[in-house]
Amino acid sequence: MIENRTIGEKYFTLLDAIDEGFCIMELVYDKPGKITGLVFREVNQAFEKQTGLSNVIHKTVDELLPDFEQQWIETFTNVIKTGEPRRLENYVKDTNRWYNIYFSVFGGGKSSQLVAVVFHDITECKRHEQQQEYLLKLSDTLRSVADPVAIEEKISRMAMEYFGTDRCYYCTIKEGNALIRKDAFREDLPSVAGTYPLIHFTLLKKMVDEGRTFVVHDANTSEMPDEALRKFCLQLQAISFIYVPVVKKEKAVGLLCLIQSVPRRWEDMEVQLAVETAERTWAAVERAKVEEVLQESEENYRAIVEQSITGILKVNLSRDIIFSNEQFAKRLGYSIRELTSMTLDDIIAEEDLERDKALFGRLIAEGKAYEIEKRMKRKDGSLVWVNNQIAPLFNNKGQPQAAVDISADVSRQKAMEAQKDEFISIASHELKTPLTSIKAYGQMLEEIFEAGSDAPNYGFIKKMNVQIDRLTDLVYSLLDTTRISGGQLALQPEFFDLNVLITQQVKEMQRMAPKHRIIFRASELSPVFADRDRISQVLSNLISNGIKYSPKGGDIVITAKPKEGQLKVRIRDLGIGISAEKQKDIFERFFRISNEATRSISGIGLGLYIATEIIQKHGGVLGVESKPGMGSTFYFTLPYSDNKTEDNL
Amino acid sequence: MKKVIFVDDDESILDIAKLIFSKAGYEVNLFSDGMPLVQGNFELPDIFILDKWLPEWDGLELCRMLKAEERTKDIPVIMLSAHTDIKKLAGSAGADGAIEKPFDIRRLLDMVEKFTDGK
Repeated sequence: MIENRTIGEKYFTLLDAIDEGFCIMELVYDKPGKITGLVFREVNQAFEKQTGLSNVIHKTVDELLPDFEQQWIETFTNVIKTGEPRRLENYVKDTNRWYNIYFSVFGGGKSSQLVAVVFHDITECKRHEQQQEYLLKLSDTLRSVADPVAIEEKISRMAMEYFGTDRCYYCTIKEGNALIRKDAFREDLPSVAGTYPLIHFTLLKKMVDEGRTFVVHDANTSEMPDEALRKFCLQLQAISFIYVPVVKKEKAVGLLCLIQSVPRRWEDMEVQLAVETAERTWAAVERAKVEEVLQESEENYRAIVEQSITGILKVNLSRDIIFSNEQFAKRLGYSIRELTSMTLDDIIAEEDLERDKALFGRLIAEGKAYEIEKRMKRKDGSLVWVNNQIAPLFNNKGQPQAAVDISADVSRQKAMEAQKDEFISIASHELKTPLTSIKAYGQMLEEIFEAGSDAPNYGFIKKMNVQIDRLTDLVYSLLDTTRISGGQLALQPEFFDLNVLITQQVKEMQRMAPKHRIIFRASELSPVFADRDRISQVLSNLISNGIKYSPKGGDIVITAKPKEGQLKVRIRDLGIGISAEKQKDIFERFFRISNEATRSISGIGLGLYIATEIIQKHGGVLGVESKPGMGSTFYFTLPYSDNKTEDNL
Repeated sequence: MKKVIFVDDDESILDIAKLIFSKAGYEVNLFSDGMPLVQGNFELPDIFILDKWLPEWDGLELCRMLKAEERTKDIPVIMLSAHTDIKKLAGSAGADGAIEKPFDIRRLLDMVEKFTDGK
């Protein structure tokens, strides 16, 4: 019993007034001095309210809170021995509450076996803490998982553990079905993963659609809106549960279910937390889905780029390489890492660099894509011929910000072309040797027979010599094409009178074309600076084309007039003409117009190709204006200065 | 009578050269390679006509050699070849003229006459 009760009376009046729980406890010993228990001696009025325990005086802790006796006895002994107060936090399972407890020695002197205990309920605070911890853990987990199914699985497990339920799952609602991909469940329960048509549960569907959270404490007794649903719940041993639908844009998209196989009084806090969990799950699953789609699309494009057999390169406007695919790196013998620290200038052969830079400049300035065949340098220094298609990549303001270069190795084609050209070149040279003799013999024969009186034989020989000249021209043409494609067509320009050259050509051609009248309308011209033989070759080609493609005869009119710093030579015929779509092809190598009207016309289709190259090499243009049946006008221009003093030209 | 030295490894061209130059009133000396020229084993002509592709000594080399020697440096040289760039090559070797094969007899004779005129 407490000795100085009167002083105690006063304090107790005071202690009854506070809302914290207070009690005085005493350690009880047996005869040999061994502790036998901890007994409640006094309690204040708040005690019962805080603990839910009544009539505790003279009872032991063991009787009321058996889990704590041992811990408390130790604490008491310690407090009494040291005189130091102690503070504990205890969870009391029976009341499902948390307490903060403060122990201190009661009464004076070292002999006191009394301890004063002040405590208060910190359950709300504790729960809040736990919720925060749970939500934090949830967020952490969701952040690290990228797969939507894995997210559903993890959340189901965590929520089941936190809420202490028997089952938990998140289903995705799509096209009227609830899809459960991974559920969490107590070991002795079966999984419910699968697809469930919501149409079978009309009311549930209605609640889901309305986005109402559905809380049932006991399916046996709770007012269930639908008997079919009750039956279903009982069948699944879902006795108490929380269903939280997630509604987005007025449509149910997900459903979180927390299920207990025994009745359970769900607290508001728990329901709120379930709603929060459902919302976060949906957000995480959505994010993961979007990422999945993005990743899939990204993988798709990556595969196309990486596994492509064409080389793909991305460069910025300073020509630094910022991306290369495997194929391109392999072609040049570099690693991708090496390439991405290099610039275009490092890998393009010197011979092609200026040309490429000029086109790249236009790409930046005008956003124009271009195609270029160029030599690239391999790591070992060897060269590889590559055909490149280079297109600008625009920013959102429509300005070029980078360029993508798609390229194919054309070394084989180039080698074959070179081989072919070499063959033509050798063959032509070989042909020239016997041709030289035949031509000379032919000419000598012609001279001999010209003097004599054998007219028929003289005629034959003349015809033979015309054919020899044709053969000679053919050989020259073949050689010219190989020189053009090898870039070896060199000009030997000089000043000469173009009027004289045209007049000579007209005279010569007229001899061979008795059916046609070749007319030259000369204008006053200053000397031109050009390769006389080559211009003669062009004229010869254009005039003979005019003759060839006007088989019925007619006039061929040639004019040469200066115009705006240029000299324009026009050769007009009244022949079969050329359709618009064929006009662009006729300048190609080996192209011949083929139709009924031209079948009998000979030639191998090199003349215009060579003529175009010759004129371009002079800095001029060669072109055609024509309509089928209305004849054609071929023209070419040459740079021209009207100044008569040659020094200024 | 003006003298021509004509060097070509093609028999038929030599045959033709003999015919046309004799007919045109020249005295013609034919060689099928450049050895006699290198050895100095020839009578000074009024003009040399050299093919480019010759065994042992290339025509252009022969031309340079002739143009470097005091004895022959003032004698005109015409290069004759199937090579398409013969005019350019001939110019750089110091030749006075060049004609591409197959050639026109008239042109060749005209050129020879031009270079030997007044001698």
